[in-house]
Amino acid sequence: MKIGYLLPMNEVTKKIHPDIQQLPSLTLRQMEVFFAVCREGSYANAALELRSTRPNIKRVCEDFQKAVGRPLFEERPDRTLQPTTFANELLTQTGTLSRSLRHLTESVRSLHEKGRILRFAAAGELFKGGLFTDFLARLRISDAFRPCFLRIEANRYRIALLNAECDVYFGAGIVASNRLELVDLGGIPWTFKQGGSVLTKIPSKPADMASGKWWIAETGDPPASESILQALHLAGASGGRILKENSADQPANDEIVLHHDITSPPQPGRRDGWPSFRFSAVLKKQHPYSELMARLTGVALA
Amino acid sequence: MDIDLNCLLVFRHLAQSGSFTETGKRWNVSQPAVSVMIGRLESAAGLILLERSNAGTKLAADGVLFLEHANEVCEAYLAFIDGMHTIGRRLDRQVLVGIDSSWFGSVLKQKFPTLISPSGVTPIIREISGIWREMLQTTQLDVILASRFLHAGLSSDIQEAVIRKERGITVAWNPAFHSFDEANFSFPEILRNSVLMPDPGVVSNFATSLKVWCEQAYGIQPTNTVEFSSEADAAAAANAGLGVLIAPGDAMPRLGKCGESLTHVRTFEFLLPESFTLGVYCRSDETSRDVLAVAASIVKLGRKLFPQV
Repeated sequence: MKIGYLLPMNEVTKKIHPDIQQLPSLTLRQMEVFFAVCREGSYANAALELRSTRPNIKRVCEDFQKAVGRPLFEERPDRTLQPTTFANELLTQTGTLSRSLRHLTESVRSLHEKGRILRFAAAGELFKGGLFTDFLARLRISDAFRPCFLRIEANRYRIALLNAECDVYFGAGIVASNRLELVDLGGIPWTFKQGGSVLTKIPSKPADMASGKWWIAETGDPPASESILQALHLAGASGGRILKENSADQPANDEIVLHHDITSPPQPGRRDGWPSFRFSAVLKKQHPYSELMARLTGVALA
Repeated sequence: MDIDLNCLLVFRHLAQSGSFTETGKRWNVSQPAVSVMIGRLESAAGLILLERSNAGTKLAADGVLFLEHANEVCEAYLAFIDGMHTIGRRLDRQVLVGIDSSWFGSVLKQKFPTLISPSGVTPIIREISGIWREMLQTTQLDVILASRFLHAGLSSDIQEAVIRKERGITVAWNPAFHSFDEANFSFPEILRNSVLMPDPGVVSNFATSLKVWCEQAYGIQPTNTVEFSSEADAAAAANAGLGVLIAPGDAMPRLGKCGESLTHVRTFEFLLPESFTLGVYCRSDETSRDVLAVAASIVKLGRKLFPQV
């Protein structure tokens, strides 16, 4: 009975691989540059081919040399570069790697050309129109992205952005934080309400509101409401409180409540003298879509 | 687009395991460093590759296609690194010799300075575990001295020079604790005790084969098995009455003092006439004269130290 053939060839089938500390740090760019310099026999010619500069190419080559730990080129008397024996042998090993790297770059390029998915998100109230739709009408992105829209409530926008559940979040009263980037898209106009109905005779400036007889309805991050209250004080209003959602503390029937009005387009400045909540787009700092920030800022300025 | 190839390895592992902690442990980097590497890769590719949530990490839509190609690159990259090290060694005329942790290995390691290798060649000793076949195939090592049980480790891309073969297996116990019948020895009887065996670093495939053998031949498994990093350690445990030692071939001369008070039998000598082999291994397609010369001189030294009985 040949039991040997019934048995696994090895105790453990898992392969041994080194960890990051034991691996040289090689990059796609270094490989490209190495091939080009071997082919061209000079840093300057390789720079021409790769549309770079001689010092750049030389630096990348030196980094590569440091990573592999051996000299790659020797300068001939006529100043052309001769690959060392090591470099020549290394070239014979690079076939599969350079082929697979080319496949990877091509697939990345085709994903870019197809248009990458861009996930916009906003709290439910913004989908009612006005503010949000006006902005989107001006945003030109369909050349590079395929946008889609998600509803994410304001209390979890930060985590949703950091977890890459969505790419850009739109909201009112968003406060800057250290891992997120903010694009200001303009001020949100106020609606004045009194006793539950919209006020027709609006005070012409903040100072005209009866002292202590007004509220602002909170939205977004809490510090935003605080800073608007302060700004209204600076503009001459006195007193005033923040109306929190679901709070027992409610305005009396003769008191004015300032609500942010998401049904009107945003106002670029503060021309009417009323400080107000800002409409902003938020995204993760160093978002993989590097051109995104510029696109959003472009619309904000327009 | 510039991609750090190490980031690709980390991305691939994270995509497959879904765990930052697991990935950090495998590649010996901190968890925040894994995050940074993924961020760098996503920025370089201009793609969102992963979605994180409290439930774990999963591939984003673009990440699925990216991973397919990343896999290909990772394999090629690791092979390239191994190839690069091999070229370097060849130029420096270094030969990496893996020696297992068997008794034979430790004796040979002591005598290694007497090895006659070609002038200018530096043989370097590396410890190996039970998975030396892959280490040869991926050129992480050039020559291996190892003990094998049955056909473990053999394949067409590996050549073997036998130093010594031994028949059957050795079963040994402390008579103060066990009373097996030496004259009418019944192998299945010992399986009711703890079985003490050398681990794959000492002899590849032994413990696994033995378990398969027990299942096939007797339909039972040992109640309890313990593997040791040397046969002497296993013998010391048998001495202390912790169980019965089972080792390949003729183990008694290798046990030294630890074996003196053990009773033993050799069994399966006719059923498994070539069960245990001590050999020197290298790649079948090895072209380096330095590697082949070092392998040949290790075979010569081995045959002198451990002559076939």
